[in-house]
Parts: sequence; structure tokens; C-alpha cells
Amino acid sequence: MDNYTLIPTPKTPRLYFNAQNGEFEISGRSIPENSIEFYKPLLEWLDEYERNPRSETKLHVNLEYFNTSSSKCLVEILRKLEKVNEKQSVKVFWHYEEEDEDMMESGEDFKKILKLPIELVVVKGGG
Amino acid sequence: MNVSTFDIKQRYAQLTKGSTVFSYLGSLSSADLNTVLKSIELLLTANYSSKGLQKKLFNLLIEITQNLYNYLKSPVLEDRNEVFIVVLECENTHKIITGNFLLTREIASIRSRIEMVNALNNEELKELYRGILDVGIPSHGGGAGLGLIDLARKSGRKLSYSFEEIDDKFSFFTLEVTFSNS
Repeated sequence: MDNYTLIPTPKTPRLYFNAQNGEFEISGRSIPENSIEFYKPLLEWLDEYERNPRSETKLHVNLEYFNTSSSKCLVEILRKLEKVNEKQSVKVFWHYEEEDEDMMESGEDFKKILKLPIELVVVKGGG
Repeated sequence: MNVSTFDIKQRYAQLTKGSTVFSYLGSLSSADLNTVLKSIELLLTANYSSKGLQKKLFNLLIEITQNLYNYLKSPVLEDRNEVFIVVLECENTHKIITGNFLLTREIASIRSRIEMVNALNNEELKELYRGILDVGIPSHGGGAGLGLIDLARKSGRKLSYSFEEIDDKFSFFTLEVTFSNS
């Protein structure tokens, strides 16, 4: 299975999903007007990954900004990982800058909704 | 109220008389939206030393301008596609004020959504937000009303709004989101 990668743009995040070692990353900004369109290929990729996942999958979410339509897509992504987690180990790391309370709260929202180990990781000295 | 005298330019001029942080009057095409977001960001980076405040403002403005953009895509507005976005700072608070035209018959549903959000405290807003997020992507592909809840939650204040009738079909909607600097 191929990896799924996208380079970041001012409105969309870097997506790095490595099928070989189970290292995943979403970082940068996720503020496209049409989030569903943007995330659809990734969701399809995850459907395939879920059939034969690595023994350990780690997702790092390290977002500076995201809009509410992206938050719905993030839930969908994490739902796919819930399924992976029924077969193999999954860990999610939600990074937020120390002064960004809203991003921390978002991490808590996802933690509350999903049956996944989500660890909140504070990034110090963002400026 | 004299319905024939409404002028968005006049309203905009009134609002931007004082010290504005940012102001925009015009249509909101995809390119306009990008320009607006870009200028807001440059301005925030240049003028705000607090990263927390920068992020709070930009977060709210992204949501607000994209809500406007999505709404303006609706063909029912005909040529009434001018909007304004104004950011004011006064007495330790920031105020984001937007104005756009809408169909008068849509007022009731928008009013009830805002009132619903305004009736909730922070904890209840959080629960509601999580509940809607939990449902996932709606089949029709549109937003499921997370926007207003997000604005109320992130600002920590009630949303202010007004509707003014323009003619037999259209009204003008003003939304005000206020939050404390600290």
C-alpha cells in the first residue's frame, strides 16, 4: 500500500500517512472552505489501511488553526483509527501551543468523544 | 424605520469612524476571502505581541468570514452580495462586527439558532458542540451549525445581532462577537 502525503498550503495541512511504519501526521493549518472534499481521499486511504494496519499506529496532530468544518473531518479520521485500534495499537498525540487554550480545549473535545488514547502534548515557547 | 434609506456604505462608515483594527467592505468571492484572511493575518502579526490574542482573533475571524462566504454562495441573494467585516478594539475588549444581506424569511431560523446558543452557559455550549461533533459529517455536506456555537464558545460572551428590513424580500443582518483581551 502506498503512503498518503500532501504538502501544506496556507489553508491546508501537511498530511503524512506512512503505511509502512504506521507514523501519521497532520500539521499546519486546516481552514479550507470545503473540508470534506479535501479530506475525502485521506478517509478512503484510511479505509484501506484499516484492513491491514501496522502493529502500532501513531498519529500526531499539530495544528495551528482549524475551522469547524475541518473538525468534523478530524472526527471522521479519528473514527477510522478507532476501528484500527480494535485490531492493533493506536496512539494519538494532540499538540497545542501553551498559550492556545482553544486548541487545548479542542483536544479535550476529541478525547471526550472518541474511544482512543489521545494524549495532549503542550508545546512551550510558541512566542 | 424608513426602509428605503438603508445604505451599507453609510452603516460601514459609521462603524469605522473610531479606531478600527481592521475593516473590509465589498463582495466575498473565493479570491476576496483569501485576500481578507491574508491581510488580517499580516495585520495581527505586525500589531499584536500576544500570540494568544493573535490566535483568538484569527480563529474567530476565519470562522466568521468563512460563514459569510458560504452564505453568500446562495443564489437567492441576487446582487445583494456586499458585506462588511469590522474589528474594533475598545476598553480591553475586541469586537468583530459583520453585516450582510439575507432573505427576510430566513430571519426566524437564524434568530432562533442565535437565541439557543445565547441561552447556554459555557459548559452547556461545550456539551452541545461535542454532541454535534460526535454525529459526524452530515449527509448534505453543509455545516451543521457548529459555527455559531464555536463563536459563542471561543468568545465567551453572548452574541449580539440585529435584523433590519430593507424591502419586501431582503433584510440586513448584523452580528457582533465580543471578547475580552485577557
